[in-house]
This record gives sequence, C-alpha cells and structure tokens, in this order.
Amino acid sequence: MSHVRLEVKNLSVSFSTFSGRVHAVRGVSFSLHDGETLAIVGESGSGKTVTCRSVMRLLAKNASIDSGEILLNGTDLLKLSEREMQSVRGRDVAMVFQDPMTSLDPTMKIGRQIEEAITLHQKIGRREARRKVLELLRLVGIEDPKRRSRQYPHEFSGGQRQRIVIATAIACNPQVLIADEPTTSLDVTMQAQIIDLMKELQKKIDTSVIFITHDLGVVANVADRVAVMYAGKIVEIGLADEIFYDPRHPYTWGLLHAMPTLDTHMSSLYTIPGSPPTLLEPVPEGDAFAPRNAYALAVDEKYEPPLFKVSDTHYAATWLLDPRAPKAVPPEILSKRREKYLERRKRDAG
Amino acid sequence: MPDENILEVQDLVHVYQTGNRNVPAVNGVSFSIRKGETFGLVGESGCGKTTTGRMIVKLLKITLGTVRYHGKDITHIRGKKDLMRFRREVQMIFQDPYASLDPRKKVRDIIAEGIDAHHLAASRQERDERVAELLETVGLNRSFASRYPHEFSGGQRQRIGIARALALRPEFIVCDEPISALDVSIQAQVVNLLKKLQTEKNLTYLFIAHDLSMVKYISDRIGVMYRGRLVETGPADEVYEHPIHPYTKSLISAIPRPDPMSERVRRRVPYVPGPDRGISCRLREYARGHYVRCDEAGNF
Repeated sequence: MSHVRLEVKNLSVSFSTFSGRVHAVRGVSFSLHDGETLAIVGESGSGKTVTCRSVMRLLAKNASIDSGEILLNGTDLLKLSEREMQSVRGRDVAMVFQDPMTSLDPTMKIGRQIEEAITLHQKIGRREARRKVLELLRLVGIEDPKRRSRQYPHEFSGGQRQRIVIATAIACNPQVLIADEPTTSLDVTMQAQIIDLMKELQKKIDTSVIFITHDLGVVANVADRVAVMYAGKIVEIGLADEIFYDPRHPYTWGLLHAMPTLDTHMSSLYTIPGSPPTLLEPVPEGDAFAPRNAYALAVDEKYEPPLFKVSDTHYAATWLLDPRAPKAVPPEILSKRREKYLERRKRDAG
Repeated sequence: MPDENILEVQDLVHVYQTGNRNVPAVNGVSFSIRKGETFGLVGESGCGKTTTGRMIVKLLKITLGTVRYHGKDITHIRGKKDLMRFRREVQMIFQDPYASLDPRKKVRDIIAEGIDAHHLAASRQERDERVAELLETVGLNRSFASRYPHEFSGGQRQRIGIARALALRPEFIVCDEPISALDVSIQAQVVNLLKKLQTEKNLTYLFIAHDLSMVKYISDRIGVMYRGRLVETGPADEVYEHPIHPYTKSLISAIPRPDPMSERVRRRVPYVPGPDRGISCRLREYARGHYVRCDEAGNF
C-alpha cells in the first residue's frame, strides 16, 4: 500500500448559529495517499466543503472543531499555531475554489496575485518570481502570458479565470490540492478542459488531490477513490469501481440512480424523496438517512450504523450489511451496470 | 392540429453594444417549436442561447428578424392590450433561484405579482386561494405563502419560481437553465415536476441548458448553438446518436459519464473551427427533420 500523505481522523465540526448549534461534520475519517485523487460527493449541506476547509483551517469564526486530528505527513495541523498554519497554507496544502470570480482580487493584476502566492512562501527575488509567474501561466494554458499577466480578472473568461486560480494554487507545488467544485460554474467544454489540465498538472507536480463535486460524471472521470457524504458523515467510501459498480449504501444507490445518462429513456427520473436533515442540535438519534430511505430497517431509528467492511478498500455505513439484516436488492439499473462491468472485466482479462 | 407551430423564430439577430464595438450575440437563428413539445437549446456559455430566450419573451430588444407566436408577428407588438396578452401566455423560469426572487417580498406576493398586474383575482381571498393552489401544484406546503425567499433551499426556491410562471396559466414557458444551480438529486425532482406539469397543463417549453444529458432526457427536439448560430437541430435522440456537425460531436464527446470504465477510454474531440467559421454554410437537411450547418464532407 502506498504512503499515506494526509489522514483525517474522527473530525467533528460544529457551528454556533442564531437557531442553535449545527453539527456540520460528525466524525469523519479518511486518508489520502501519495498522488491519488479522492472525490468527495454529496448534496449541499452534507459537510464536504466544511471537511476540506477544516484541513485548510479556513473555517468561519462561528465554527469550532470539536474533535479529531488532521495529520499531514504525521503532523497534526489542528495543533499548529495560526502563524505556523500560514506557512502550511498555500505551500503544503492549497485550494481551488468553486467561483473563480470571487476567489481572485478584482483590483489586482493577475500576475501580481500569482507572484504573491510565490513570494509568500519562497525566498526568491522579484525578477525570479516574475519569471515563475510567466512559466505558471504557460503551464495552465494561458496564451501570451507576458501581456495577460498585466490584466485584471474581469478581462478573462470564466474558464481562463479558473486556470489562473489553479496557477496560484500550484505555485508552490503543494503536496495536497483541494478542489472545491472547481468546474461547477463552467459549461461542459470548459469543464472538460479544466479537468484535463488538473490531471496533467497532478502528474507533473506529484500532488494528491481531494476533489469535491456533486457531478458523478466528473467523479467517474477523475477519482481513484470516492467518499460519499451524507448529513456530516462518510456513509460509503471505496475505489471508484467499487462505488460505481458495487455500491452498498442505499443513499449511494439513490445518487447513482437519480442521474440520467445519455441512454436514459424512463418516463420519469428516480428521485430520493424528502430533503436532508438540518443537523441542528439535538441531532436525532439513529441513522440520519432513515427518513428518506426506502430500505430503512427498524434498527435505523434507534442506532447509527457503523462502517461495515465490504473489502479492504470499501466500507459502507448501513445496517443492511449486518449479517442479521434481510437481503436488500439494489435498483435494477444498478445491478445491470454491475453485470456489464463484470462482463467487461472478464473479457479484458481473457 | 397536433403539428401546429406555437412559435416560429426567423433569422433572429441581437447585437450588444459594448463601448464602440458591436457584438452580434445571436446571428441569424431560425427554428420553430410545436405545441406541447420541448425544444432544448444547448451550447457553451456565450453562444447566445440565453439571449435568444430573452428575445422570445421580449425581455430583450430584437435587433433583426421576426418571432411569430401562434402565427402572429410579435416582434413589433404595439399597444398595451396585445403586449399584456402576450405576456400572460408566455412566461419564463430563470436560472438563478437566488437572484430571481425579490428578497423583500413574501412568497405569496412573489407568486401573485402577475395575478395582480393582470387583475385576475377579484378578491383577496381568491388571490390567496390561487396562490395556495399553485404552491400545492409545485409540491410545496400552502403555509409557505407567508414566508420570505431566504427561508428556502435552492430546490424549493426554484419551485417558487415555477409557481410564479404558472400563475397566469401560460401556454409557453422559456426555462433558462432552471436546474444548473441545483444539486443532482434536486435536479431530478425539478425535471420530473416540469415534465408532469407539461402533461397536465399541455405546456410547451423552450429548455435552455448546458447539461447535455438532462437536455436530452427532457427534450423532444434540440438545437445546438455555437457563436450566435444554430449549427445543428433535430430530434433529440437522433442528434445525440448521429451528430453530424463537428461542434456537436465535440460537445457530446465532452460529457463525462457516470461510468468509470467508459471514462477511462473516452477521448474528447476538440472542435477547431474552419477558416470562415462556417459563415458560408447554410442549414441543410441531412435527414428528415435533422438540419446541419456544414457541407457533405463535414467542412464548415
């Protein structure tokens, strides 16, 4: 097994709001290996962004990290002082945000913004830094970098802006790159280009990536492993193939089932009924997904399911995996996909 | 007549003036939509699809060309009476459910705005009853009428936007990227709702989006736009299964599919426009109802 670069252990984060304490992340654990891409999927409010912002220690003032450890090569980031954290942020762990318009300073030329990211962490002269800016712009595919570096963010299109944000993020060759819905505001063509760019850069600078998205098509394209989050917890985690072709959690079934593919001809799309819980204190006992779950068991109302082991790499938090549980049949479309997958694997092997 | 065209758009042009430059965002677009069908308009950002939608509902000036609604030219509608009638029959659902609802108004007043403008309710009671009905139609609780938009999630807000569009019992609705700001599971709910309403109320949709798999799912026919021009149009299945124009091919090849195995082998075909960007080409019929703007060899 490859070396673990980042490890998040039992992370819990809550926010104090006017209506009470909100438990946004409730005991999340995962690891990120060298050079791999882990995709985190889930609905808005499932805690995927909060988890990643905790790694960057970029949480709002009303947030508190109630428990957990975030180990980057063995160092607990949660124990660092703000000053120490500042030297980690941007250098060891960097982030690409969803909206490229708000993550760039509109009053600053883009060359200066990238330069800032470089000089903050590296002791190099202005001239050397400038040279590096041009090199980075070229790397992310901005043509005529010399002229473009003197322009302001509003002079670029959405896709180009995201390229600039990526250039800033990789300026110091971070060990971990967190991409929070980096392509959600872009159209398909742009999205494809940005994803290709990120994959290429990942290889070049040997970084590990956490990719947050709710687009399962994008997940299938980028992810080595996938974590599915619901109501502040990871409900299923595994290799991409395991999640797509052998999902075990009813929520994952719902997500995969709800997305139309180009060969969908059903008269109506499958939907997961209801909406996610608010996670306001007191968080109801039992499985948070139970009220929306057609496969819910009586035990779900009282006890939260632990993560059951499916394989060495695949875990799911549902009582359906308990040996005493009745056998549940996943939606037909998913079992069909699994059959196709097994067939194809057999053919490739033989 | 089942094949009656509800909307005909001919050589539509819109020019934006930016400083001293004129940008033709829409440059000679023609298509027609039959009653009861869904016409999907797809293309990358900046291709002119939203501009086209906005011209059709007369939210934007039509620089050149004509729009016919039920055979009647509405390009130069004059007189308040005709305009009011047109606005009652043609409604719009906007992309951003956060920006399109007035934050200072209660849901009741947002939904009833059209009812008030057209004096469709005789009494306060009738108005409230109609709002409650509309809320139920879109799957929301009647009691939500006295709340404010910020109290709702994105999917619920979009339902409010749909209720507002339905308030005047329109025939034709322009849906401008109604689901792109929503989560996947919520997208499916909204699309199902739109489909259900279409059957129940015999609605016609112009569905503008860049999410190609959803557009294919909801549309009977689609049009692909590129740089202000319609480059391909035809039955949804046909266009997706046998795309002819290189831009359409490129667009379809860029869609990531929720299937890691096929993703590993998927190759994106980049689109490189020809020297004259297809300006010399006209739309020609490739197969029945399937039109393409490029020549036999695929040059364009």
